[in-house]
Amino acid sequence: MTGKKFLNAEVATRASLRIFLGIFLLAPYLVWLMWISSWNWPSVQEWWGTLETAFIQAGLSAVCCMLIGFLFFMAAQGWKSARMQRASEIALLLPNVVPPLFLILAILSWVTPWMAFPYGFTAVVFAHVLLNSGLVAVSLNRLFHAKLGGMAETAWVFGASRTLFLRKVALPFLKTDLACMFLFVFSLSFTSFSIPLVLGGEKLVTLEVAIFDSIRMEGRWDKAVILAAIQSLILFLLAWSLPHNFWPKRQAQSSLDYFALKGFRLLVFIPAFLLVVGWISGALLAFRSNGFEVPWVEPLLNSLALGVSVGILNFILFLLTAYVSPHPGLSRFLSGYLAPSPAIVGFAMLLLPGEGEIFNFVKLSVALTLILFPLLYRWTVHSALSSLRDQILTARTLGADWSLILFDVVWPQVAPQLLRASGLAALWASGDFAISGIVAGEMHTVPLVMENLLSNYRIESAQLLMFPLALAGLALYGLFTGAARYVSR
Amino acid sequence: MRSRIAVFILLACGLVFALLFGRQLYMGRDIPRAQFVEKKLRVLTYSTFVGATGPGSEIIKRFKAENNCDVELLTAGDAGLLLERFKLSQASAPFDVVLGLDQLLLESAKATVQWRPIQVSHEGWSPEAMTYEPGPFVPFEWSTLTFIYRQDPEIEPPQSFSELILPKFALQIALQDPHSSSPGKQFLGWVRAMEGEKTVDFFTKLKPNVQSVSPSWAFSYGLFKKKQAVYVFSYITSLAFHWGLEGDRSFQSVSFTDGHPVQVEYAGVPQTCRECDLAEKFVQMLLQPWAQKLIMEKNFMFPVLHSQVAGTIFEQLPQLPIRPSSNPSSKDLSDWEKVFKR
Repeated sequence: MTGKKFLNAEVATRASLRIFLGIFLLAPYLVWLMWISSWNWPSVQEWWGTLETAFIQAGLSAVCCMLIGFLFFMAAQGWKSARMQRASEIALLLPNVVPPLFLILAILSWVTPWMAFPYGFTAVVFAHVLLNSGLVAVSLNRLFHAKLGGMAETAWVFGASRTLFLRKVALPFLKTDLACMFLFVFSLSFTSFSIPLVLGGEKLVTLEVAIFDSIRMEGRWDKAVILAAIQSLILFLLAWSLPHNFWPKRQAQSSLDYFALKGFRLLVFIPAFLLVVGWISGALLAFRSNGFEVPWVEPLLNSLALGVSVGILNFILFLLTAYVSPHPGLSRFLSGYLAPSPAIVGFAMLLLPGEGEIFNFVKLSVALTLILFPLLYRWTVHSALSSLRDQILTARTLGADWSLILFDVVWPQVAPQLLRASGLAALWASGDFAISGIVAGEMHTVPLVMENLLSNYRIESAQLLMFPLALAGLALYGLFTGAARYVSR
Repeated sequence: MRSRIAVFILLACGLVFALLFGRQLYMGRDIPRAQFVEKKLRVLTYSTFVGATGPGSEIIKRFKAENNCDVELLTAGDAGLLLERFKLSQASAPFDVVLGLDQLLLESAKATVQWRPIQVSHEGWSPEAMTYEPGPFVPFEWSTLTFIYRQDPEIEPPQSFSELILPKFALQIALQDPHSSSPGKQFLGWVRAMEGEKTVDFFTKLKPNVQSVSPSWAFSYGLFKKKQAVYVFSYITSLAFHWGLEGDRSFQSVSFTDGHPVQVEYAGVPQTCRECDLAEKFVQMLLQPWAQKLIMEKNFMFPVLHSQVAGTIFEQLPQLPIRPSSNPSSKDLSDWEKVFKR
């Protein structure tokens, strides 16, 4: 009787936590629903054209990112030593800590000495590839190791060709993960703001720009929230079409020689090289210029604190999701849900009670978590959790309670993925300036100081600050991946 | 396993607190243990004004010391979002001062919020600061806008506004988007004022000369500084940075006899203020010679008090004729969109 009561209580707790998770993620929409008194639906002409071009742009960007990311993944397998593997991973992730202006400047400075810059689709897709293909490569690396490692080694021993293995085994087995990854990159490109605006020329706009316009030009929060909801809904519908997942038999223990493109292994450093050359030359100019002292200690501490806080919040949410999984509805919701644009999330936080530095810090951390959590769940956590479905069901059949399943079945297998995703959240949060500019108040983070320097003509000094920013971001990522090694030891 | 998760979470939380504590220690290193103050002024402004290099923090520090009060700063990302930020927080925690509205936002500000008139003396003010009727607002800085370029034997800058559309300037001009940038809006208003009904025609001819349309002024100026564009639409006071701080006189501005737009920035005190007297004092403080000098030197804008310019690099900047422009209407924006197809 007591056992039954306990089980019922556990079921109720899990159901409540699922509801909490849903409400938490939808909080920005709920806040606006309560705040906006009258809603005027924007006419279809106002957003249909934008949606169409944004859709094509994001689709093209995602396809190219997946292809180039796969190439980078194969090239990265060429590195044997652990040190070089880590270096290649850092190089692949580096474009993600660079603010859009510096990414755009790097692209322009490489192209314009040779030819007129091809503004439009090509430029936007190229910028998105430079930004996101490294993420895809790192993600594929984890995925292949975790899910195909054992099979790849067997296929290698039996002499199957790489192409045959990829076609007959990898693609069918990884279709859900690849679809999730595609959706992840698609979401990033779909919601991209600065890159399409500057490099798109007259041909490209994203819904994100239209949302910003509604707020800034018309002061129409209702329209902005509706456009954001349309954006979320589209990704939601896409997620519903995802196929089911599978459960791997054995993980790979070292680099996947089978897929290695040894002759191309230097390729993994190209995105970082393209960015770093322009960046270093700018920073050298800052050293030579007027001796202006760049304030960095306090902003660095703030950025680190923000990164750790966002990383932990994401980690706690991932753990919570792991506890309430598997649940088909929740899984579909999380893999399809996209947080509204930064302006809508940021201002929604400001509508909540509580003022002052500590409240601002908490609100900023929550706002960044609201944006990053769905993206990161889709990128890596969804795949990790759904692959354990059968094990969890078996454990349940054998009478294990949910907390035992979480700590003894799920956690040992997904801890590295959860912590790496949290590390990435920390890395991105430390580089955020879109939401920080709205919510941070008096708190100066490194990206905000960089923005401030840019507005004060000091682009070189801003470039100089890229060093502590990149170091902070990578240190935060390292902290969480180090924790992954510790907890899964 | 559970204890390891707990240890990790505890350590990470501890790290957040340690970083916040370290930051407080670092920030409070020079502050004497002052007495507790009850009065708190809530100031809403754009982030660069109070950023690490802006004049805001020094002005506020002095204001706090002189008035024995606390100042809470709230930011809105950029100036264009100030009013939206204001409207959102007004019901729960009203602001006492709003700082950084430009003339393009005044109309909307007056229509949506009631403001307290502030008595200030206009003696010694630059006439440009009064280009637009301020109403209850107080101007504290201004600048004309033009195209900035680097002097080069191969560059022949446009001599008049109509020359901007000549094919020799193909892919050379960096502009800002009027949807997201105040100078972008100024440019649109300028073209509208100059071309009237022919605005769309002008934009159509100008389009091949546009190198980029950026989301913000800082973004486009970054492109220009990195030599991606030959001309950038910017403040004439940009030259003060290059000439004064960088010692680089190769940066120049174009001057059109037809006139240039001017941007004036204002401070205002809403009727709903809670510390109204302090708020008025704060606005008046912005007009003190030392504050005006600080704004000029750190924000690179002309001060309202003309006397502060004497003996500085700002005195050497070209005097541009002014052509006041009105706030672009939604039709003007759709004209822009027609050509630049957003």
